[in-house]
Amino acid sequence: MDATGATGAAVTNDRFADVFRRRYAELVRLAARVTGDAMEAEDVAQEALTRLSTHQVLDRPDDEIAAWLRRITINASFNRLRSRSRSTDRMQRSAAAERPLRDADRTGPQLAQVVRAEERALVRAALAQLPERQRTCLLLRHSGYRYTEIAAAVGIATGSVGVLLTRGEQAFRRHYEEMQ
Amino acid sequence: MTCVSGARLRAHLDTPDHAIDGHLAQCAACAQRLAGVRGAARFAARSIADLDAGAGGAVDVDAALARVAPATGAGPASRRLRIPTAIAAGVMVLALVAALVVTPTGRQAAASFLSSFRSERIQVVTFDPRDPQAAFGALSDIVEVDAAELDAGQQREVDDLAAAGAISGFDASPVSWLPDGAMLEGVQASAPSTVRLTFGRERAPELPAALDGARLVVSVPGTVASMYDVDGAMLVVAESAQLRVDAEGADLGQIREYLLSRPEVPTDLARQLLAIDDWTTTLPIPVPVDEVVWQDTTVAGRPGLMLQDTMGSGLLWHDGERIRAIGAEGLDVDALRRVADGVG
Repeated sequence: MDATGATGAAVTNDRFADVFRRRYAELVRLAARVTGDAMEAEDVAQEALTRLSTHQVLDRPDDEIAAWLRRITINASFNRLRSRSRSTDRMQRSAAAERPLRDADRTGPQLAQVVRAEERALVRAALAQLPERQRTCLLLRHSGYRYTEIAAAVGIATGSVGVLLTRGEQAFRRHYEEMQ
Repeated sequence: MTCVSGARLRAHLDTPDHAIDGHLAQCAACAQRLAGVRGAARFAARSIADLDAGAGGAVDVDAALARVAPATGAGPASRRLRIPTAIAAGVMVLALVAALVVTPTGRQAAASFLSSFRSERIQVVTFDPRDPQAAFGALSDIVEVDAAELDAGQQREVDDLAAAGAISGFDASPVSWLPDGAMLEGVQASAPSTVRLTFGRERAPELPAALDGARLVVSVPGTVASMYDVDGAMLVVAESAQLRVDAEGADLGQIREYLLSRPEVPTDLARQLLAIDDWTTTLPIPVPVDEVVWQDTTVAGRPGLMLQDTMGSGLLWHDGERIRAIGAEGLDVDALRRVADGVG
């Protein structure tokens, strides 16, 4: 590679490392909320960040990169959740017959932990049923993001965030209650 | 003032909009709607906040960066089948590994000086990866491996399918249907290579005399994998040519009996391999139980396998000339089948 190419590659590498360091922990937190699995969340975040190069996003402004990464991370997290759900359905069905006995064996704090884990699974399942833009809005808003950041991640006008939030929150509650 | 829109009511919860205070004080309908919006918002807030309790903690950013950029220390690493390894292309690799390690143990060819295996179909054999007996890698210790060409078999990035064909030795099949929004992210290819495994008593003293000096010649086929991005998820379409194993200087039946008696091969796996009817044309696909759900199916009119794990789902089939695999994160099986029907 000639000197110009080498310099270009070094700049790209520096830029990538910079974005990685600033965004990684945030993306892991977002992914962990969806997947509930710290290791899987790290996998998702690393995947999202490595896609920066193949999608030629690195040369965009910081806020655009951040918005792109959040959207990719949330989508990839829900994709994993959906795949996991499908692959475990069969095993869960076969285990269902044993569940009453196992539940009967649980007591006190152990049972409370199980119940909370099941509630979280229900929340994730209800979120997964929402249209992509609604669930992204909900997850980002209730993770503390501003309307402008949400709008950038979803690709809508800031004024439309409220519309999607309203619809999404009502649909989320409905799905949750239906699945209970 | 006219009644307030739901979006404005929702925004009012996050950033108080005093311009609507007066209307809300007078309009019972809007006040009631605001209560409904607030209730749904609070319910979502509580539910999503609770997800934190079960989520991850601190992360080691530098270690993660080193993992994705091991060569440069900074630059974005090639994706190198990170996810595909677990699904479609990984199944392909699995098949090749199976052929290198397990397949010779399951071949009962006619007793002749030169016997050969040629993959024409596939069949699952299962094993428990937690079984301490499942130490397949140790099998390589009992043979001398001549893998001078193995480097040629490494997957590498290429510009397009034409370049992939030049490496793999075959023209990759076009794909006639892809999900909406699918964008080609990259193409990887590997060249055909040959691995020679020679049995000798210097490595395995208990080796039967008839096998001393016997050799398996494994012709590893070239492969081509096309990776697509589908709205943030990965879709992989991969194929390889047939795999061939020739045995020289010994009876494959004896080799098989010896290898199946080795402690590195779990008893149950050995039993499954012995039960395969057509040894000379069936490629066993080892699947770890409890980690991958699988079932026999028909893919593009051919017998095949459907596999699902926590990362995605895949289809694997053999169409007589090629071993083909398609896998994706999050794509439903019907969509995968539609892609499969359009391959070739």
